[in-house]
Amino acid sequence: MKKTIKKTFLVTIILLEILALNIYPVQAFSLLGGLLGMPGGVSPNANGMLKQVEERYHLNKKSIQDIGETFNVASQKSKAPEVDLFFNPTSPKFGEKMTATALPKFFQNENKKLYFTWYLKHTDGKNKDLNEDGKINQEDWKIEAMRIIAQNGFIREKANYESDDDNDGYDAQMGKGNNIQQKNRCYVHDFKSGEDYEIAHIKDNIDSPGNDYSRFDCDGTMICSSPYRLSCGGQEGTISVPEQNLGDASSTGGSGGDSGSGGSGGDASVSLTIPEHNETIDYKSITIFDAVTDSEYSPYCKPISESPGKGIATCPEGTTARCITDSRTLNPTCDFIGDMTARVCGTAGAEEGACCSGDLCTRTNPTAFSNPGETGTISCTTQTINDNDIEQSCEHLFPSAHINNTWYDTGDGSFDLNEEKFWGTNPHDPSTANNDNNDEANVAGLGRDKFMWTYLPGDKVGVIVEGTSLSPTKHNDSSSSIMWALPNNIFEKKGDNDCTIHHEHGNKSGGDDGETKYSENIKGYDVEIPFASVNINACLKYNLVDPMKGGQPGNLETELNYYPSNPNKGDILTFSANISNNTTDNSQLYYKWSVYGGDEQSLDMDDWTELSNNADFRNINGIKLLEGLGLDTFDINLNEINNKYIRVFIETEEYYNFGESQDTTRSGKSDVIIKIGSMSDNAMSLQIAGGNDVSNVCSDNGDNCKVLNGQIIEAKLDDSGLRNFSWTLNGKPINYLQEGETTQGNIVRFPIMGNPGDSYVLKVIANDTAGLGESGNAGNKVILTKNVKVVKPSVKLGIINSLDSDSCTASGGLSPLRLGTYNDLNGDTTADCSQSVFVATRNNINVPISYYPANIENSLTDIQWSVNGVKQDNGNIDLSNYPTGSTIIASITARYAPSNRSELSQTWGVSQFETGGKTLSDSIKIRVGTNPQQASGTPTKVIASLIYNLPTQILFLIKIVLTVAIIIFASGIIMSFDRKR
Amino acid sequence: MKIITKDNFFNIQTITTSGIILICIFLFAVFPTQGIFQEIIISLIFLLIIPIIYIKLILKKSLADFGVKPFTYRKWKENWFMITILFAVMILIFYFIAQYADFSNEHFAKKIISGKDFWYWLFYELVVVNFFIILYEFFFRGFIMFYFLKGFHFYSIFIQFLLFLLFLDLTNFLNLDAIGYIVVTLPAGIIAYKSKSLAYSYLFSIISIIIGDVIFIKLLS
Repeated sequence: MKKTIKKTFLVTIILLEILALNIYPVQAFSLLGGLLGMPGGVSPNANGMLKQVEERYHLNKKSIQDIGETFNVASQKSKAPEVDLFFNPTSPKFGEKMTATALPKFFQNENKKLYFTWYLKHTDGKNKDLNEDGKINQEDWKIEAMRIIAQNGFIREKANYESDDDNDGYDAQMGKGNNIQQKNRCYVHDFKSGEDYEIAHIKDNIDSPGNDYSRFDCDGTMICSSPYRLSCGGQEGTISVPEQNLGDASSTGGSGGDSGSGGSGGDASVSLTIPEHNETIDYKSITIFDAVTDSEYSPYCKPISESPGKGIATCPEGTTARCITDSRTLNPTCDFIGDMTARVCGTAGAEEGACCSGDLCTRTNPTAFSNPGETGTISCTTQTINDNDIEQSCEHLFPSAHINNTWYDTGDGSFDLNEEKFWGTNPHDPSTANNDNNDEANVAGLGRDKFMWTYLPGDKVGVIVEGTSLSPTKHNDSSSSIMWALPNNIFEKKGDNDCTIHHEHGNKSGGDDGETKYSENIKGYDVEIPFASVNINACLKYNLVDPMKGGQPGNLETELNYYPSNPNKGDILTFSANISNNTTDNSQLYYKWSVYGGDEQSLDMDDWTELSNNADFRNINGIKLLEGLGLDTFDINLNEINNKYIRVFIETEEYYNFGESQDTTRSGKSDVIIKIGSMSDNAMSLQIAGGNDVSNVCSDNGDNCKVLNGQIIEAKLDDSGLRNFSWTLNGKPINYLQEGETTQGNIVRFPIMGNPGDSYVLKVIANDTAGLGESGNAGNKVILTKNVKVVKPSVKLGIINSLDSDSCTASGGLSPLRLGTYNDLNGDTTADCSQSVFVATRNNINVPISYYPANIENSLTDIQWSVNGVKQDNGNIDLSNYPTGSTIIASITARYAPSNRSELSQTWGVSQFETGGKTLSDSIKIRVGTNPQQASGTPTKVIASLIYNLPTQILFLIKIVLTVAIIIFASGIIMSFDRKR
Repeated sequence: MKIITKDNFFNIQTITTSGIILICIFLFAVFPTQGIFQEIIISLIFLLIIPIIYIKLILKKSLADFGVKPFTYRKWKENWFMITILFAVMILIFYFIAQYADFSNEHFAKKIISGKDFWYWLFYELVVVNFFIILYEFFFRGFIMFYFLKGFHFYSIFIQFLLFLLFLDLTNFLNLDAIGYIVVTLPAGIIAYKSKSLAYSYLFSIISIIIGDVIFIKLLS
């Protein structure tokens, strides 16, 4: 739209300019033209006028020039029809159904009114000579493809070819446009130059125009002249103005009265005034001559029909083609005319032909000035052809049937039995393919924008789309260009004389562009239309598309994800690879992982060092498998990473069945660069706050953090390089500020008010983003989390055996009673040691005590030991007072209470009743003096073994029940004696 | 109707019953247990289940003969005065014991309540103490006293008292922590003897012991 407006405006400006330049003082009395004596009425102020126009309408000269320059080449920027092909599936396998879809563009027609002529080429040697013309070429490709379309799965063996009664002929219109054109105009677009050439050729009986470039038969200068009137000055003089006679003045007196004698009339006087006037008038007499001037139009050579190369010099209407030999006769001056007029007949210098009359020789022949030079039929040579000497070459590109040495055109309105046989359609079904078209229309490809076939490795396809383009022709009718679209837009191939846009003369020397044109008079103007011939069929081999995009199966589209997004040292970084276009099960895909380390933000592999090929690195960072089938996840413990960044690669491979020993693999690759945070989770420490003793609640490696209900925990983050902190507990902000703080710092406190088994997630987000006026914003950032679990405090007497020992460990004179042995799947044995029954191996024993969690040891109060209920001060027991084989019970009670109850109450609002503390206790049995290893024996009897291994409680209940039964039974027996007696 | 006299009371049945009583007391004290669960089972078995089975299967008698009767208003009207007097006496006894006995801040009730809130102590009294009172009432007043009532009449109160002391001794519970149980045994026996029902003696025992513990806690804290 914008372009149209610009063009219109430009044209208007140009018209104005033309108008301004060509204003004639036509009536020869234009003061301007006359005074100045300039031919043609050229106004000396044309530039000024245009400048005024520019200023009036705020037109920028450069902008208009830009528009003009664009306008000059607009005809070469037209949109020619094109077609894109899409394939599904994108990576077909041998024997798989493949669908090619054509997407044409820049046609006037909608798809169902376009002709799609498909062609299918197999690998060399696999196409057949389907039309039996002795050649395997593009026609056979077309036939193979269009047969598939016409049959659409129909099995030709089922057809009865004895007769044809379906009347399924189709008359194909050129271009299948909406308008029925007087004449089909087919064009081909040169994608290099942008020109559209009408597909036509010079008639066979007409010679080629030859290689001469245009020239006129004129020994002088060829111009297009236009006439004008020249005024030249004559005699000058003065004449007097005669007196004006204004006539006589008279007056009549008044008459007297009636009675008496009348008086005499009075005197009357009249004065006449003669108006002022010139006494003399100057005069000048001029002579008008008809002259000619150059109209600035260039004459052209209008071709003569049946005389190729010959023409007549022609100028636009209103101008005359003229050959000027004496330039003075063009735009003659008055002096020149005067000279010519003053020649004396018979004297030297008089021109021949001058008319002599008397003593003067005047050049009265107006042709000397009004018709100088030569006019009339001035011959010339030209390469433009007369439109009567050319023939249109506008034909469909449909495949033709060939049976019994007879060719049958497609789209001729007739589809007889032979054609039905050739194409394999059903002669009793007008639409064998069961679509909107009849059989011949399907062979012509009307609206057939999809083509489905069984893919063989190496197959290539293409399509010729015929339709009416968007470009109108210049002819004086309703015609638009009928054009074809090819997938690769190749209509001309260098080095191939068959696939070329052929111009009849082809001579590009002498300054012309090598085009051949023909001239047609359209609306009174001789319009030159470039034409050429082209063999589109010869270009089909350059317009084949390989569905495999280069002959190889498409890559595996591999996507790599990882978590967490901001890892720090100590975190477990988990990667997962996702492939969106695999054709086999994930377990059949081969994955290979590799880890690189680097300190630069670089994609150049020279800046990265492979880490995963080092066994120590793999061991330290928990990397086990690096490659294997189905290995779509990959973990790495960031225990020891010395680089700022790590780069993880994933390579994937899939076996691909390409058919006929052409199997190959598809592969994919992806990588990701991750910045490793400088802080590990150990940078955050958790301690019990308040009280006299501050101790860590986490193990040495920072994990396994245990806290108790009622404790206040202080979390501290190593704040080197960090400024801003945000602490949350289970996602909720922690409302704690140290004294004097207005924003959270690297230390925060929070109470634990939960039941054993509850867990908390403590998270800190920190960075070094600087505020206004501060410096040192290095982009450091940290996100750390700690899991904290609430546990139940307890004390435990006795020895806690490790789970991988084959014997029960003794300590302090006590040895756990061995209950049995665990045998694992590897054949290793582990001793099952009692945690409540011990055997004393000496007389003085020291009962060991363990605390859970360990940090409560110093927080316990009211610790009381007792042996068999008798209190004592500590865990040292003298067993000499107890008989050997006896069992004593050693027990302990202690009280645990949070040490900072007041802070809990005052700062955190925790009720004192919730922080009252609890009593911890434990007791063990100690057998005096027996060999602990004898306590366990290997039962050999079945029932004994069964009883030995039953759960304790079941055993107890069995004992009770037996006891009760015995008591009742015995009493019943005794009582029965009494009844009998 | 057979009149049971002292002479015909001492028969095989009596010997067998006495043996059952002593066996139950003895086994309760010495049967090996681990954990609270087993201790509760032991308590139920020897103090409740075995006597019930023995009464029902061996003696072939009704539990009502052993005081398992419902609370009736008539009985209450007959015995409320005595119960009230005995209750007052109990309170006084508890008071004097609390005042003058050497508990040394180690009474179990105080231990229970220290570090716990009131509701925990109430739970202890109403569930744990209640449980044992029911068992003791049934075994000592119900099974022992009501069985020997036929032969020893009023003196069966003392028999059950002595056997209770033996029981406490065997279970290492014969100390000031059990003073409440010891003190209420005789009055409870009297009430059971008079009312012929365990309901009143049970009520008396539970209320007395709770009140007694309150007194102990109050005076000892």
